[in-house]
Amino acid sequence: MYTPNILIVEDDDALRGELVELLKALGAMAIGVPDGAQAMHAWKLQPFDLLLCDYKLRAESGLDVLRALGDLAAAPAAGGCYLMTAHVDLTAAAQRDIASITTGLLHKPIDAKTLRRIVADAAEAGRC
Amino acid sequence: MLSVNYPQGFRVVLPYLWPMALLALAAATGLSAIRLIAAPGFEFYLGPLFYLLAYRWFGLKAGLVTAVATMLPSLWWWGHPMAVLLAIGHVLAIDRFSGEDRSLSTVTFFYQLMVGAIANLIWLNLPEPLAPEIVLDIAVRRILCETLLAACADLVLLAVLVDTTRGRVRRVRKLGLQQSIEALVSIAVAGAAMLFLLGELNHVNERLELHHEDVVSAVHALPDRNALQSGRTYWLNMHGVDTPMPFMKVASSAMGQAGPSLGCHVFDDGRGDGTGRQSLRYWLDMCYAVPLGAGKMVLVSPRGHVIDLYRDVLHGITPLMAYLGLAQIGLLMFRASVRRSSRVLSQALLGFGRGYVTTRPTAPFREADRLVGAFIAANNEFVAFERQRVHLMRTVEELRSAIDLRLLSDIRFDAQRGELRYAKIDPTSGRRGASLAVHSGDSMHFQSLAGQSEIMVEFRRGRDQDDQWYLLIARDYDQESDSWRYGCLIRLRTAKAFQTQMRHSARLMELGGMASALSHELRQPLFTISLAAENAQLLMHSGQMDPERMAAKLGRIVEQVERANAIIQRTSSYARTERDERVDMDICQAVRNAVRFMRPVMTERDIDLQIVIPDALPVMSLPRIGIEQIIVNALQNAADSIDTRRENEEDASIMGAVRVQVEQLDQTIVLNVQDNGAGLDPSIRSNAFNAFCTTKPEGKGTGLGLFVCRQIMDEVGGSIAIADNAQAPGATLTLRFPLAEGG
Repeated sequence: MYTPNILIVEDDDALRGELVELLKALGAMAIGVPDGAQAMHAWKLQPFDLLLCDYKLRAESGLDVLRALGDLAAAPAAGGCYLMTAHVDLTAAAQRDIASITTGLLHKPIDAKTLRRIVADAAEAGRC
Repeated sequence: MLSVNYPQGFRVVLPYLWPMALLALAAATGLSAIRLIAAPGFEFYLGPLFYLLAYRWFGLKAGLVTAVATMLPSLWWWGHPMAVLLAIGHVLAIDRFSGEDRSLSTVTFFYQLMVGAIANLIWLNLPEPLAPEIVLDIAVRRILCETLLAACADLVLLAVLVDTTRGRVRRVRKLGLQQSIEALVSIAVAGAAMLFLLGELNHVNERLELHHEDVVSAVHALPDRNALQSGRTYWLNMHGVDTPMPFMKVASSAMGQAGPSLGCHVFDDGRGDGTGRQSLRYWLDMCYAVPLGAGKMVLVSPRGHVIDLYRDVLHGITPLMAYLGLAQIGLLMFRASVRRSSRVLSQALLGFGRGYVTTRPTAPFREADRLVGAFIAANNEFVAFERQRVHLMRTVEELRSAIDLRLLSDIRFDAQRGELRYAKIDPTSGRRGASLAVHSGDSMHFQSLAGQSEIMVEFRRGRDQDDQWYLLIARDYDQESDSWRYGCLIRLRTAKAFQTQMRHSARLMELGGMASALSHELRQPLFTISLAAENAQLLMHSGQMDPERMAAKLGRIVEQVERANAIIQRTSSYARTERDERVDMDICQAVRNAVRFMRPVMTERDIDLQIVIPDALPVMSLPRIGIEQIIVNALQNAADSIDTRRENEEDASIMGAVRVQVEQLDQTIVLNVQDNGAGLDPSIRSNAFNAFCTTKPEGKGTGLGLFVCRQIMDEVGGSIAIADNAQAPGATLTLRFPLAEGG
């Protein structure tokens, strides 16, 4: 079974740790970083099948991080790029921006079933 | 008794009115009995002057009595009562046709013209007809004489007023326009006519006296005068005399018997004193007696010549009489115009302010017409103003009724009875004492206001379940009476409970604006809890029961639960209720709490939040939640203002900056919240702290944020101000906490 590589960009340490642990438990290779700079560094080291990025990082926007990674990578992650957010009232403009460069938006708290599905999708996409 | 100390004129007091009146009547009668001869054939009496004055001053009865008394001597002279009857008729005519504003002379003229002249015509032709020229001359003389005397009476009446009720004689100061003009015109015209008549009559008399000598010469020049038969009538033609004169030769002793055949009753031989020549009747009844010698006389009657001369006089005076008649008719027309002008003017004056005048009456005189026009214009302006005033009064009354406004004075709070005592000032019923029971919950507040020069307090009515609220505004506190001198009481339509609810709603709306941040704050720990629980579950299902890892998972879950709980606690404390009691606190701590609450908002909006607080500040007794609410509100407004600037300048990259600084300046702690936003909108610069004052889009701002802030600062005795930054974009909100008051 193909093991997808997943990069997690999340500034909340506790949340990032638990998410990495869960994804690993689900059979993925998961790496967590707290900000965009480390994400860029990790991406340069190896490609990832799935990218999960917090929408509002401490000092930067998740969208900016995704744009920067998109500029860096020849091809986007095969399994998709997702933004995670705890906000519920994103403006229409923000939602349009998100839709233009991501696979989808995941609202926190993301249930385990959803995480399993996107990991499975990433594994399928990576195998192809 | 005579008193001259009358300020507006002279004053004569008549203590014995009746004796004095009788004395005056006797004097008038005596003066009237004097035959005044102005010219030969022109005699007059003062009777009309006296009875006209008596009528005007003392009434009809006095006028009639005086008329009879003063004209009675004529009965003796003339042997008939015509003059007395005409005088009585004169007084009655004056009484009938002459009002107080009409002159005596005009009525007298027409009375003598129509009644006096006809009576003369009848009377003078009895028992034998008299030459019409003579009759008309006498009538003219009478008309002129009576009119002139009446005009003289008018002048006296214009100058002197007799107040019979007070027995006072004084000078008239307010002349009647119409009466004055009629009197002056009558005096002028009738006087001129009379002077002419007097001149003519004098001239006639001179001619007649000269005529006597001519007649004597003519008789002596007769060629056959000795051949004349006695008792036979001959006719003497003389040069310059149109009508031949009859003459007769008679014996000197038979003149008396022969005279009547020539119409003579008196004889003038040129040797008398000539007193009879002043009478018109003398010339008509006289024959010249020319002695021929030998006891013979020639009697010559000049009657025809006399009539010729008086006809000439009549011809001369007739145009003047016509002129006088026209003048009197003109005066009648003038009088009608004056009356109409007066009536129009009176209507304009008396109707002033009673309503709009749309149809403008016309006064015959231009001067009066202008005045009427001015009055009507002023009237319409006044009526319009009056209607506006009434409308305004009605509106004020409705307003008063609607808000139950009471104007008060001597306002004091009776702490023992729990009553507000005052004097109610009512525009209609005046000043009435009244009282209003104050709810026990508001009594303490009232007691705390004692000594303040001006108060504005909301309170509930006591012993009442309807939660009725009142607003009392009182001013000018008097220390001695422990009361405010004046003020007003307004029954509030919206109870304070509703206001409180509104404030609470406003805070909830502000909280609603932070829903996103709150959601983010809660969903983060919730997601972590979810993941930790999932991992723990997987750990259990894997069969690798590592107690340390499991404890770590459970510990993380507890940690995240506490984190969420802390967030909820902060939110709950922000939504404070009215019962926010004062606690000893450090303002810096309030700043920290507020900033911790608002930092996610600032972060989300790309706003750099900087805090500058001293290491230590004096502890103050303040409503902690209220102060935190002010700071939160200030930060929220700062964030909104920065967004507004970004929108205005269409530059979303503008980096927002908010700086919160706390410092102690002498006995005041100053807290500044400075932003680099859009600054104050000019439209709210002067009323930023008023309720419902906002420049935010509809649905976003309630306009109550700063209003509530100011209320809280008022409660703690501090102040709040907001102003544009001096040399940079944005504004600064400044809170001042006096240590003496709050510390």
